[in-house]
Amino acid sequence: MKEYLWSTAIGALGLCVTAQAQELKPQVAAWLAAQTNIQSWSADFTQTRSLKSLSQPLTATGHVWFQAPNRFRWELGHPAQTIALRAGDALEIVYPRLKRVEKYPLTGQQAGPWRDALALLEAGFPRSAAELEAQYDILSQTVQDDSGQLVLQPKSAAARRMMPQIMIDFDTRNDALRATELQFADGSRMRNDFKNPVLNPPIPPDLFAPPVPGDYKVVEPMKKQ
Amino acid sequence: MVEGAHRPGHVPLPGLKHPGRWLWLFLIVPVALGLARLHFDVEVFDLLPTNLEAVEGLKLYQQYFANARELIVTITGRDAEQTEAVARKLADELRANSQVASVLWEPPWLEHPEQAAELMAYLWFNQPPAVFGELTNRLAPDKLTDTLAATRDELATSMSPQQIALLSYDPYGLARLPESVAGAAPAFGQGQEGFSSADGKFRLVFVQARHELRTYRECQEFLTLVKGAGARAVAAPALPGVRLGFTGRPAFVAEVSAGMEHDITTSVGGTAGIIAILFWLAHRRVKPMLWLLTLLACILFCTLSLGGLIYGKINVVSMGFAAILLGLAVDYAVVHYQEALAHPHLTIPQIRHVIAPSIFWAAVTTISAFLVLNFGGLPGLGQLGTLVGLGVALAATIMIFEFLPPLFPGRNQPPSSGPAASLETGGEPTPLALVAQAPARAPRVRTVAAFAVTTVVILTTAGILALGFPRIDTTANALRPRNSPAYAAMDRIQAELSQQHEPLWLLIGGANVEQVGQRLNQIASVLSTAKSNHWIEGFTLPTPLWPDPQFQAENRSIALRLANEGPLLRQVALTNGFAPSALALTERVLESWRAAAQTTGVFWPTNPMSQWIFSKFAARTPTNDLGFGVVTPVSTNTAAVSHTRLAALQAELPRNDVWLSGWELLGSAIFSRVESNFWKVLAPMVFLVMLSLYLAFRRAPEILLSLAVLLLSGACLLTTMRLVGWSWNLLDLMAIPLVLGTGVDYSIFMQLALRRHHGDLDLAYQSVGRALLLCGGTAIAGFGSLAWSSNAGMASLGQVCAVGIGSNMLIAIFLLPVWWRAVLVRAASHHSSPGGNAGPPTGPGNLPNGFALTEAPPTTPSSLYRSEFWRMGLCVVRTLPAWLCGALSRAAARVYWALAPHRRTVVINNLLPPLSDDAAAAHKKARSLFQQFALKLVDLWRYEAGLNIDDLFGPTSGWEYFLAAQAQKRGILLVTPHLGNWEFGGPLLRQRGVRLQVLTLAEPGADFTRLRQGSRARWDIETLVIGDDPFAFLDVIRRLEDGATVALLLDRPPAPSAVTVQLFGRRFAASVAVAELARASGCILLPVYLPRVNGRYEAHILPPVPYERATLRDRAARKQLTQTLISAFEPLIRQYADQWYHFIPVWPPDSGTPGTTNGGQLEEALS
Repeated sequence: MKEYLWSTAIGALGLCVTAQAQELKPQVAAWLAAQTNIQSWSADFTQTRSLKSLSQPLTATGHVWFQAPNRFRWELGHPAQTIALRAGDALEIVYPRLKRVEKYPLTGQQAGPWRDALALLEAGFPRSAAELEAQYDILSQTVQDDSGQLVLQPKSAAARRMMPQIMIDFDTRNDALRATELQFADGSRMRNDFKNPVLNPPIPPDLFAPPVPGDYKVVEPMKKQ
Repeated sequence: MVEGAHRPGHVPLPGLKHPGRWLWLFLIVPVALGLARLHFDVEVFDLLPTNLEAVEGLKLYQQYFANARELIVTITGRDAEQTEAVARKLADELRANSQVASVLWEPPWLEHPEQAAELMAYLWFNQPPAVFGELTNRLAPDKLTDTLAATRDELATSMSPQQIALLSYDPYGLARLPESVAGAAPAFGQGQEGFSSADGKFRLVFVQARHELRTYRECQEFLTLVKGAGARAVAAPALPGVRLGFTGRPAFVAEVSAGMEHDITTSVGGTAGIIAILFWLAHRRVKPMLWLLTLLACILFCTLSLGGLIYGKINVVSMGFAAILLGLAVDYAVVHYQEALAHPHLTIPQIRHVIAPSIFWAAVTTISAFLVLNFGGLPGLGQLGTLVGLGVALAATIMIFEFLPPLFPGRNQPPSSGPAASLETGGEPTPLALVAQAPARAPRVRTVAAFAVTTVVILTTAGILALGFPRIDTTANALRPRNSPAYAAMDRIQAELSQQHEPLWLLIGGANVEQVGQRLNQIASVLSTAKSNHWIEGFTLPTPLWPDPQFQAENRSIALRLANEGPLLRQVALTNGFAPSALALTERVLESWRAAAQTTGVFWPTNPMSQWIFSKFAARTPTNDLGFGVVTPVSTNTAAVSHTRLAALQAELPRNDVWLSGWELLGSAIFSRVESNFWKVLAPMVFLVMLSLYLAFRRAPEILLSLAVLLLSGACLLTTMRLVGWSWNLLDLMAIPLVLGTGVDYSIFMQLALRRHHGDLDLAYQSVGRALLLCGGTAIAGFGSLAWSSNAGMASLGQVCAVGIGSNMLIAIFLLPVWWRAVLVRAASHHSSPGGNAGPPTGPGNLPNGFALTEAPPTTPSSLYRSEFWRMGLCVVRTLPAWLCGALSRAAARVYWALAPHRRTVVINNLLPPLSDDAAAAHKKARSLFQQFALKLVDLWRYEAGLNIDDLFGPTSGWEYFLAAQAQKRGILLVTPHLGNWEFGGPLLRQRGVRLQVLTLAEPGADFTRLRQGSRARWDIETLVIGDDPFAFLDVIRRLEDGATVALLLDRPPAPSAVTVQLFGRRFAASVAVAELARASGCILLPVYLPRVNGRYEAHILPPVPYERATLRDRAARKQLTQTLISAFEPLIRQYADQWYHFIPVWPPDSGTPGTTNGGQLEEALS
């Protein structure tokens, strides 16, 4: 019932935008080409959530690690209040305060809503132009001074219903990711500003699959009764 | 053929007059009423038997949970986006249509999230008070700020977009339902679940009509409307690859009704076409063909109307009756027409007279075969059986009386009295047929070929069937339409929405909400155990959502208190950084709680979204509540294992008001019912077949040959089914009695034709074989046309019947005659050569002379003349009033007249000489004789039962002759023929103080003889049984010499005492015993007779017959005395011909010339 209620609120916010395929600008193409060189990446970030239901934005800081091709770890809050881990076809959300681990499969029939969630976390880490264009329509490309901006629209109708637009801001001088901003259907926004990025740092494997403390409760909310 | 002249022993043909065409007017009223009442029933569930849990469950589901107005559109596209676009577009267009009440293309809570608040409020309100009470803690005024801070914190750190979205509009976390509810209702909460496949390429759109769709035409119109919208949604812009499907009740009803129309047009049209072609090929005449088709159309129309009168609704399976009826009804016309062409000298009434009995019997067996389908356990098939039975009865009547007259307008006159035309071939076998000379032809090639084919067929069928019999399909698939897009769409939904196994439906009823709730808890426990035992894979019950009146009552005060906190909650939220829009959900929940607190009974959510959800699992009637759940069975490879597990589960479930149902259970349940009822269908048919074979042949070899045809054709049917992969299913099992009932006729007709033609194969084929081919062809066409039926079961029934009947027909026409010759010739050879030395056959058809292939007339009394029936009669007359006994006996006589043509023929033959060979008069008198005999029998039973019969005596005459004879003290021999009620002479004489001794033959069975002796003894009448022992007469002579009064029957003597005299100018066997007793005792001979006149028996004593005792030493003189006696009765027999009771032939063959004297044994004994 809980999931149903989530979808209730989200689902009402539908928006359709027609997208046209575009030629990539050289800076954008270069940034995308540079993505293939990333084997690992980490950075601090500040997340700003501008929600329509709140009069003031919410801000949180955290750290992100990325390991090609698709492993990541997001930690939000200091100390971490929420940790999102992706390993293979599963997504784990750890709530240290609640001593709770939620596991979500990313394949199968129940994965739909969480595949959408994954889009939030993976936005900004395309591996190639082809991969980008497979998932998104490029609504606009803006290059100004040393800043390049891509505005994307998810091709998936479900993802688009939740998140009509994604903006990626990168540095055209070093092809480093500066920020991502996700716009929700009701106009709310979630922006991640990255700083202190480190390219190809060594990342211990268990960072993406940390052992679960014994006093944590592990649940699989999507598993059928 | 002899015309205008009558030969002894040759039955002139009377006619069967048309009773009057005005009688058809009586049909108008029922037909009109039936038409007015007639409706077509396209509900598959109405085909199912009642009193089965699975069926009741399905019907309840159909009634309360299947939305009769809802059409489901399936959309299959290349990708999720395309599919969603089509769904949305279709929804938009249909919502603009005034015929559409609502369209759902995605879960309603996604389109109208504001409506979810009421459901949330309900779910909280329905919790145990302790759980609901926790909410009051969370929303306590002093904790509101902390709650909102926690929400903001979560909003800042949550990784879940859904959680972020929801918390944004639910700052107090009212949507966080207790685990028990949230975990138990996942099906309602996962995005597009229930509306879309996982990949989004398959979607559902639910379209509800604004008005009830009561008729199939309304369903068709609604389907057309939605299809049109669907086509437009796909067409502009063109979306190649998008496929639409339509299912749900309106689609099923539209499809089934269209199938019915198709079935009627194709099967009826096809059958009628084949009939026309076959008739044309056989006769090449247009007028009779068109007239035949016209009458067939009338028969169909009337039958359908009468079906409407009886049933009101004709269901889809029953519509198959039309083609079957056509195939059967045409036979009656063909037989008539064939006969009319073959015998151009006969009038139509005469042809009717000849054909009507055989049509009557054929119709009776066919009607019986179809009527027994009512015992099969499938109401739909029973209805079909009744319709065909009704139609066959109607067809037989119409064809008998109406088919020929317009085709042969010059032959409509009934036969005139006097010598009449007669029939040598066809119709009832007559003694003359015995001497008909048929050419003897039995080509060796044909014999060899027939036996070779027989051998090949036997070996082939045995070989194939040794590998296995056709499989048995215990599913309910036979009840489904074939090639059904609606079913295909439904199957697709099941596949795409990942329901790996077709779920079972569980319906839980109760007098009120509490009772259903209790049962749900009870069932949940049973299902959990079943799941742990691996009897089932899983289950979903509406327990968490089912209202709990007790909790609700206890929660009312809490709900009201929370509702009253609304302004505070709003104020605190705004001061903690939330926008006013964030409180929409909270405020709606509070409003719902306020509404719930103000209700007095059970609180049900009422907005459209909640109603949509609740309509899936809860139904309320004025007297009952119903809950709906699903059970997922465990996937197994064997149906038996699955059935065993489900049976175990069913045994554990509560007995009352709980129904476990579903197609899988339905099939096995119905099959079990059909299986258990099968004997009720088969046993009467086997009995009927055996009875008809016995009545037709009365000889073991021919009965066995017919059974051999049935067996071999059965083997052919099984082999065909095995080869082409057909299976026995719910419906085509019923083909067995149908094939038996209709197939047996072919072997009967063929063997009777062989008898008539003395084994001449060519003649038999020409006269009957070709007609059977035509009749069989039309029957096969009728059944075979069902192969294209839109209903799977009807198609298989038609196929199986067509093959079964076809096998019967072909074997009967082409193989049976050769078998028959082989068996009967051998038997005949044995018959002619005792000791087994079979000599070469001689005579007609290469059969020995005297071996009567034609059915000989009966020479013994009816088998009904036996002690058991006699006792029954005595019992009946003691029990019932006399008038009722009389009415019943006359009715029985009418039935016997109709059912015993051989006996009827005998009586008509017997009456011809007294009536100057007037065939019509003989026929009329014979019919009257049966009636008179029935009345006499009742009176006789009354007499033998010891009842008062004084009122039965009428006037007497000639008593003075008796007194005069008595005075001479020489002994009196009362002589009478079988005229009137001779038995009543005894009681009449007793009334006058005379003790009578009756000379009789032994009755059939010692018990019967004793019974009748005892009855007479009750009246002080002594019975002297002489049997075949001529020396028994010595005692009689002694008694006569002592002056006794003895009664003796003059005609129909036993062989030892028979002497041939002349009666009506014919040779006639009379008893010489009278003359012998006169010679031996010198008694007085008094002829007497007791006819029934105006309901009373008159006793007439004629003057004594004088004789010279001394001259009686001469044999010729004794014969002369016998002649004198019999001649005395000649005018009386003529006068009371309908009371001259002889049911075995009294005229010996060739009785036109005087024969030799018999009675030698008796003479020897008395000399």
